[in-house]
Amino acid sequence: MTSPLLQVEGLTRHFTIGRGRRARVLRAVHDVSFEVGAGEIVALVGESGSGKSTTARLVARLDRPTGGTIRLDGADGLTGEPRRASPAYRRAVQMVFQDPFGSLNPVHTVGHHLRRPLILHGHDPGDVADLLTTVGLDPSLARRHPHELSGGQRQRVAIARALAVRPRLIVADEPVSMLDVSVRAGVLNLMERLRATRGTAYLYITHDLASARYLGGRILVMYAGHAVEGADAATLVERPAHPYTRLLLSAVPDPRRERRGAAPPAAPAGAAAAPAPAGCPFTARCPLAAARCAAERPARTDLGGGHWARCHATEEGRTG
Amino acid sequence: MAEPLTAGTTAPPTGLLSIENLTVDFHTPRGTARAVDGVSLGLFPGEILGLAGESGCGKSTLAMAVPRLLRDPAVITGGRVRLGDGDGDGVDLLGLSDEELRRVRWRDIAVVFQNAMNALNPVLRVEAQLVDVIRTHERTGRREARERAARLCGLVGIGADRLRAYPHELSGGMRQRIAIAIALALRPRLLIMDEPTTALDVVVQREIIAEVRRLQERLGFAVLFITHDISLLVEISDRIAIMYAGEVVELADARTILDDPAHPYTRGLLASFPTLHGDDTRLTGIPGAPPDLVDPPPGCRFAPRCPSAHDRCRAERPVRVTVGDRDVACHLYGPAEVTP
Amino acid sequence: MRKVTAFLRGDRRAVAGAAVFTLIACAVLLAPVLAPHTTTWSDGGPFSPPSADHPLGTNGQGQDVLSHVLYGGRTSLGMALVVGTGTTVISVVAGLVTAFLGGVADEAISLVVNVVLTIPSLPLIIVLAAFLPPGTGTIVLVLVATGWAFGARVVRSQALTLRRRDFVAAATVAGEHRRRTIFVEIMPNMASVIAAYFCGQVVFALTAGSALEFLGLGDADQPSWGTMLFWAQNDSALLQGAWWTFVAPGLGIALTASALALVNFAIDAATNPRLRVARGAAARRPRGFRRATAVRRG
Repeated sequence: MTSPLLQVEGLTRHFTIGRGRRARVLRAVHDVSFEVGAGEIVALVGESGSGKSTTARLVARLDRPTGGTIRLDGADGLTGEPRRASPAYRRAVQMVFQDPFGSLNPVHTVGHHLRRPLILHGHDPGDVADLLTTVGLDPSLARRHPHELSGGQRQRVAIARALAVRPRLIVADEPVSMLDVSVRAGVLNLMERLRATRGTAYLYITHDLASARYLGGRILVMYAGHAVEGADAATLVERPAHPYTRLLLSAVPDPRRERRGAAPPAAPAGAAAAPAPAGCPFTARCPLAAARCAAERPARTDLGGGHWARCHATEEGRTG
Repeated sequence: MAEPLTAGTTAPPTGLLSIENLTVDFHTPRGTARAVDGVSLGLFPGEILGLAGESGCGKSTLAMAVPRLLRDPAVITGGRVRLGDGDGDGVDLLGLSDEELRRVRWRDIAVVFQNAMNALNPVLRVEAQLVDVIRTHERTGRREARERAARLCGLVGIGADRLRAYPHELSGGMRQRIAIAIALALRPRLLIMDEPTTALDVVVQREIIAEVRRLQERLGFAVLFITHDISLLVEISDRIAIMYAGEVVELADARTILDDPAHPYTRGLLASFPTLHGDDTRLTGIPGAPPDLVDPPPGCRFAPRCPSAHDRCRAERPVRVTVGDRDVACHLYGPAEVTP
Repeated sequence: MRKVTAFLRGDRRAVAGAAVFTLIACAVLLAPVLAPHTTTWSDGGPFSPPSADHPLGTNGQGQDVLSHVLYGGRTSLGMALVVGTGTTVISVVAGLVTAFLGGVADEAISLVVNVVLTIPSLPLIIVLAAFLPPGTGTIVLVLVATGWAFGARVVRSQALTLRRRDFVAAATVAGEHRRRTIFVEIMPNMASVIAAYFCGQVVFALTAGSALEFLGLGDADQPSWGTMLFWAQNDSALLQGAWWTFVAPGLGIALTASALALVNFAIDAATNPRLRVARGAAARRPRGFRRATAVRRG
């Protein structure tokens, strides 16, 4: 059996905040596992603080995990290259950042941004025009500076920079959330086109379930550093198992829903309450919470067809 | 000065607020950009009017021009903003002195911003800020103001124990609730909400929206709700105005906008975002970018991006006309012959 | 380059400052052509007032003041520019090294920076200059030794902010080398800070260096604006009513310092990317509470 393109197992990142006695540990990412196959789209969906962006940075090797493994083509990259990722890893895995205003260097031209990765990875620096054409931009933009471009154009440049090394996986951290509504579709369609024509796989980080569903592929829902449910996009949206997924789905603005709709089903009161480190992180807000939930972390319950959830209620067959 | 080209054919409703031919210019080093261009818009008492459009379309400028909260490069260069007082013509906010305006703000018109931290003072406890607002505008004893502050917090679903908290000790959603409580402190008739949930997570956004709806039904104020998220707007608004490049291009009932959009820009917007349960159609988005307002295209401002544009669109600005149950500014719907 | 011309066009302060400084620099460079006499030439008539022969009069030794101002400016400006360059280079290197190496190097250099910053600099400068053999070299050395610390701290904090920006992460993901990331991606973003610091240091070196020379801590035989003031004081020029011996070098110092200060302000306003972006974005983001002027139209 061939190993998947990217295999993340038990990924954990804890931050220590403060010093000495006051120090406490923030569990940004806790025991997260998933796989991304070649040409596949996996969406990590969650709210702010869910650990989705930390996961993205870990996979892009901008940060080192506290625990767990990240395997590329079955080879554990972390043990071999403790300090920096190898050029081979960089060639395979690229990243597109959320803020197209911050991810391009204001003092350099568009051309510079595309030329550097080409040179660093031994490609022809003359490919800049091709790259711009690929992402739907005019090659003449190479001489412009980022501040002369619109948000949508900048994000296309950022994608072109990621494409320069011909990666097999692009980690896209909220690539459209800061763009105007009318240009978002264009960027999402571009990503899908690149997947179809070049076989580029994506780890798509988003808070927007609708766009995750639009791109298709698999969706992994994260809450407070934990992966709580995973399924293919259609299943997750139509038959969510975890109470948090259901809460999230009910909160997404949906023009087709009956208007003046009721408040979300879960009690929001404990929203800020710290999750019990031992149990399920969603316990405090969960309408189905039982004594067991606070004490014991639920295991993965397999629901068939690659659909799973970490929830005691699901495991016991209780539904809301 | 050129004649206003988009005079709404419908008289503004004799309701709570009527914006008539409002024009706002930005004086930039490159020239004058007309951010709001002869916009007419009315608000009925107790309705929620949604204002949607992309960044730079002038929606925030329009909304902030109402209580005259615009900052330096922006200057109101024409039009009227009448606040109804039950009978007669109402009062033109643009003609008020600073002192008169101060009385209107907060008592009649309150504003909630995208970032609650802009409205909250980071070094004062929440209670002190609520008490301050109440006591600055009304002759109230400290004790009574405190009691009202507690009631206001209860109104927006925040426990009295949070009154002693500083803004940074609260979550984003709670801060926005406090900002709403402060805005509602003097029972305004109009609440202007400028992207109030954009910085919040979806679940919190949903709670805030439900809260606003609930409060609005209970207290009867009107809301001018500004957002770029048209799907959110369809859920909360009674009517929706779509803005593009400084103009209101379509104004209709929320359902009508969703089910039967007329203006090609509105249609483009609706085809720009994916929905959770809709069919799997491919999103088209809108090609191109909004025009440079310093040097806008001669005809319809949307013509360069419009799939239905024809010669007339590139030469002549469309006038906003009433077609059926909506107002729309587009040559596809306007009067056939060229208006003089 | 476009940036520079754009800001020169847009800012009257910059134009004025740059023009005055260029004029002074040219005059000083062309001293052999412009000066009516050499610095050693003397006609024996001390303190003769400005005349056709001596446009700025003569000093206590009967030497031509205009020639001294022109030749002396070479020493003064040269000294100031060398100190400015030296402190700026040391500041940038120390600041970047501490920001990026971290660990022991950061702790050690930061300690030195803090020590240098804590000692009151003017007394230190005077004490150091008094102990070392007098001369322009000593003054340069002393001013560089005491002047770099503040800049190092400024550069360090800027670099620490910049390295958290996404474009640095993007360069890392692209596989960019660390040294190149620091010097090609990050450093150009600090151009305004570095340029402003350089201007400030030149102004400081000019005034402080002249002050040291005035106090007699420089090389009294080497003509410069500071030593001219020293000799004027020494020869009791003021008692003789020979105001021109003070005013000429004093104006040289004051004009140069003011011109550079103007350029400094303008650099700050023009190359700060925040201000540049804000200008472009202003048309899109009207926020805040300042009342706009409302004009009613009938």
